[in-house]
Amino acid sequence: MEILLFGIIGVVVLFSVIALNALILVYMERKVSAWMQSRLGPNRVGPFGLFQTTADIVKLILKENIRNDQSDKVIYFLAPILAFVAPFAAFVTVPIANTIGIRDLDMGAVYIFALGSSVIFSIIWAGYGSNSRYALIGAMRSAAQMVSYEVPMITAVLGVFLIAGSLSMREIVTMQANQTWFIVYQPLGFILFLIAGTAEANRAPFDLPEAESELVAGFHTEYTGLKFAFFFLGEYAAMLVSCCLIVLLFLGGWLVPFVDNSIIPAWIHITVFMIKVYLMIFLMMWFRWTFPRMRVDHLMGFGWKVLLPLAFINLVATGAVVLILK
Amino acid sequence: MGHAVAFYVFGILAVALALATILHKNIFKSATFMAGMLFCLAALFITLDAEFLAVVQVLVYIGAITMLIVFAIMLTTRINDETRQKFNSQLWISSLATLGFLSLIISVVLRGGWGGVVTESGSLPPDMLGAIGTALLSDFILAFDVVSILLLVALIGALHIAKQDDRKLYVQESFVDDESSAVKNHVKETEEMHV
Repeated sequence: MEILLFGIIGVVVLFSVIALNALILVYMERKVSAWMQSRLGPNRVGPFGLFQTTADIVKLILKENIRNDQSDKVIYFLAPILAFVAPFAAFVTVPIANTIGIRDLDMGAVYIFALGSSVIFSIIWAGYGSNSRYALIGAMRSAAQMVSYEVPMITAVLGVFLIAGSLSMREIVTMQANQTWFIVYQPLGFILFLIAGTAEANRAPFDLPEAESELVAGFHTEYTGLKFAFFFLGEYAAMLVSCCLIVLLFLGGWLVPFVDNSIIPAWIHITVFMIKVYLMIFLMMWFRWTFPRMRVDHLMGFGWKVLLPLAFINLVATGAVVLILK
Repeated sequence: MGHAVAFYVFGILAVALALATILHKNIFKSATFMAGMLFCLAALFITLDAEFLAVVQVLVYIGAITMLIVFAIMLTTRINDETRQKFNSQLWISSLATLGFLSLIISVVLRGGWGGVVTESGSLPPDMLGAIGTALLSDFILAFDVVSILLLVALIGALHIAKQDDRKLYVQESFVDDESSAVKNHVKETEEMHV
């Protein structure tokens, strides 16, 4: 009974956090892009345009739900749900401070990667279910892209697991408290993971699945209203998961640098963790508004011929060093 | 109790989805049902306290293998065409083979002495991940390496076949004037498939 209650509370809190986070991130994205392009960005609704995204969400909810007549009803309906549920479930094993997190799993990292890989299905479903060319091409691109970038991404973090000797998120951060942040030991792994993570979250310069200048909106071309909102929510949740992973694996999670962390209260840990995560999100937004979109053939070549060999070199070198130091 | 109920629910669901996979006319939906079936298997592993196996099941089978199957299906032409022949005429041979395999599995299960379906947990080692890793790289190192070599061989073989196909197509195209119209049609069809 207690477990059930705990679970329900966890789900409600998690949902509110993710929804609120999406609101903040959409606003942040608009402001950051405006700032980088010397524009003002949203500034009419509320102070500094803060309520612009809230107004947009209300608009999305009130919009008419249009479904393509030739589309596949069930698959079309399931796609946005999975797009949101998978990143949502991944948060279960993300700890935000030493003792605060829903559940710490032995193989937390593998669990997150497994859910991340099932997100591809939602995109494929959206592409197939809409029965539209743009959506189908977007889905195909995304399947190829996510399958190829998952390999260097997981290979890149294997170095961290070798050093930490664990797959549990909490233990990996504890190891970083005893030693230093893993970005010091794994600079190459960090860069590779950052690039592959951006590609996995379908963010520019890797946003080919929804390249608006060629594919209208890619896999979610045929979605309107609340269903479209769910794709949106899922995308920002996936981005948050990627950034949480980067922070936990490479940047010391909730740890405050250069201080003894055992005497610091939990609320400071949570704040530090959030600051780090939002800095990483800012970095991803910076990528988006700085780099032009990659061409689809370059994308594959880059993943398989540049990232993967580098990830292998990183893994073998780390393994050798760990073996020697043992 | 809850575990046992969940075990049977997911077990029945897995069998139903497996049947849907083979019986559905639309091959894309078959692949989707297969993903669902594999997900149910992962849920079964969780009810048996094999959480690592469940997670790996989702990562490898749903995220990678089914994904590649779906990818291959979408690259073929006319995926939506339900009039396309999905079944062949080898019903009797395949049923015989399946029955033989089923009896083999049943005999192995009976001999293994796994009487109760859901076992009592608690006998598992605390560091299960470490135990699996150590076992794979010490006691079962030969099997582990043989499987890796098998995968490598499959990879190289697939590449070889793909390359060879291209060359054959090229040769056929260059001599197409001397051949009968049947060959022409065949080349055309192969080309269409490649596109």
